[in-house]
Amino acid sequence: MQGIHRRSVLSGLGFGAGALALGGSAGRVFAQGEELVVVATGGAFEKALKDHFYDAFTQATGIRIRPVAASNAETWTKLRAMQQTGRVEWDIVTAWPEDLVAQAALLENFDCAKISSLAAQAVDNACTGRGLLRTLGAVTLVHDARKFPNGGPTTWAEFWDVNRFPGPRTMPNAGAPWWPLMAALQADGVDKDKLFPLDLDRAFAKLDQLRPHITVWWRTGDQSQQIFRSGEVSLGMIWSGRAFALQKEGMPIQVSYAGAPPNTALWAIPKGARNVQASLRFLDFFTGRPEAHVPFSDAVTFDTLNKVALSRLTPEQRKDRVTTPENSRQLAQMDATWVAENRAGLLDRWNRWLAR
Amino acid sequence: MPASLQHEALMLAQPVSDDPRGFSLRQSLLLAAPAVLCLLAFFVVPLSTLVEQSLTSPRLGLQNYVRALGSDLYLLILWRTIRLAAIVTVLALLLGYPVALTMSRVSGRVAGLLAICVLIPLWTAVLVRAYAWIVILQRQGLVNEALLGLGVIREPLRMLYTEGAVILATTHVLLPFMILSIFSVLRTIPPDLDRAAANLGASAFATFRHVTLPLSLPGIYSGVLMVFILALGFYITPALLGGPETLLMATLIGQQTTETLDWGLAGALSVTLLVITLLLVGLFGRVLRLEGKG
Repeated sequence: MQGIHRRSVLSGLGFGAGALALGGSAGRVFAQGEELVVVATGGAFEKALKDHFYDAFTQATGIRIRPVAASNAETWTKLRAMQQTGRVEWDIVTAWPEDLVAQAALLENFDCAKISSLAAQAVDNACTGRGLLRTLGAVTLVHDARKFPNGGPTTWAEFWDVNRFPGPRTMPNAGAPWWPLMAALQADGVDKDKLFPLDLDRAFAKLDQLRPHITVWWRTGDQSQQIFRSGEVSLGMIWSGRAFALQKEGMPIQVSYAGAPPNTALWAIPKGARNVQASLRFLDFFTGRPEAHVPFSDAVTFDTLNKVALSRLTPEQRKDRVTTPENSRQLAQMDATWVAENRAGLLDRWNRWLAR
Repeated sequence: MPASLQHEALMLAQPVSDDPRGFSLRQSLLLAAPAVLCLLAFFVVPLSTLVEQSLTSPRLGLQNYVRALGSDLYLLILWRTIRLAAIVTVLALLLGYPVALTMSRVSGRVAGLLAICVLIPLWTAVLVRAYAWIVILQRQGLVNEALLGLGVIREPLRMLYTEGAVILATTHVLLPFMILSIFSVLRTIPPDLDRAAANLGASAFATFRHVTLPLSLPGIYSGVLMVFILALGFYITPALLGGPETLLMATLIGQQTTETLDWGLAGALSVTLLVITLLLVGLFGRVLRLEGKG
């Protein structure tokens, strides 16, 4: 008994050492372009990416994709830490338009010409050299139709009207305070195309009025869905993709694009990444596959950069999408450069305001 | 009479100190070595790095401490954290002491049942318990549905994402630590002392006041200390059940570490919290020890 026990322990140790050695050499092979680490926000969204793009890319090229989940704030924090230690382990990250300016020092400038499918497949201006358009949505005003049998609010001014539309509300605390501030200014009468530069004093004063009625400040997309499911809130400001996901679950959620801040995400390549060539291959693969973009955009209810796929959508699919003219003309104008320049001070003021 | 009785009781409750069968000093050191090495590697080293960062990042000086202590917001959060930890500690003591006393007085099946009631929550993951509280406290949760059904309220109460929810759930998580600390001391008090006190004419309350309570002070001390320190650094429960208005030190430090990457400030905030904790603990220990001797 004892002998067997000892032997199995020893062989276990041997196995462990072997695995370590294997891990070391495997790491070197991946560094030569066998694996890409791709950062997105995780959850159902990441699964849709895997089902429609990651797996097919691995099949076509032999390059494996390791998905990593991180919030927007975590992405830049960790990336900066990686660059400080000189080991950038991520190959592709998800960025917002303002990040391309604010985090420019962390991002690689790549040659858009390397993405050969761009001209034939992508919408105009999809590639900026620092980012490639990934998905398009908005931060929309939504309400639970069961709580408002006579019709719910469809504008930010109505969202602020707690007498006509009573009920617990939710707004985002997800790293982009300019979204609720943009809504507040519109509720105070500012035109959706003239919000920038943001009048912060005015916006915070307007938010002060509504604050007692905002019972949840959601931090993640999953949380924003859960509080509607459990009835914790009746109306709120959430990502359009999450709102339509609730509709697909059978909930009577009404979505209004009126004055909604656009919610655009891009792929970007970190400076110092080890597999830039392989990353560009993936970006090209992502751009040029309309047959994958149709089911993918349907699964996440976001539009994507692929214009061929957009033309293949049914009218039923189109009516909810942000790029449909009836919807896109309702969106608020966003000034990514102003946001990038004022981001740090804005976040600080926001956190102070929230913590009171 | 009470003073001398108390003295007697204290003498009886003293643990035996010179155990001839104990380990030698060398053996003791050897046995303690793994734990000490772990502490060095995983606590002392990171802590030193933290202190160093707080003094040197981005440059040498005290600027991070000036920022941490000069900001009314951070001071507010610090005060909120200490206040919450104190409330939780008092609640846990008031709720926990009677349970511990009962556990020490009953025997057999009832004692086992009580122990299970205390231990099962302790073995359940903190995360699971936080989600359970969400189910109970939410707008269409058990409490609101029951109160609405009974006609006590007309509109659902807002309970989730408030300081009350954080206090309730944190007390629930930390209560077993209080109960077990007090119980471990209470059960070493010989039952003869109660009978002796009664024999000398003391009422049940006088017995508790002059015998049981003073003898259980070491248990109260360790329970209060443990609950207070754990509550000061509590992270998961406040993050899930609280809102931005209940932002506490641990969450703030987490934000500075993972979201704004301001490790200098995070270090300064951590060191501040650590120093204040040590000061309060020292002060607390003095007060209780004096009381124990009086």
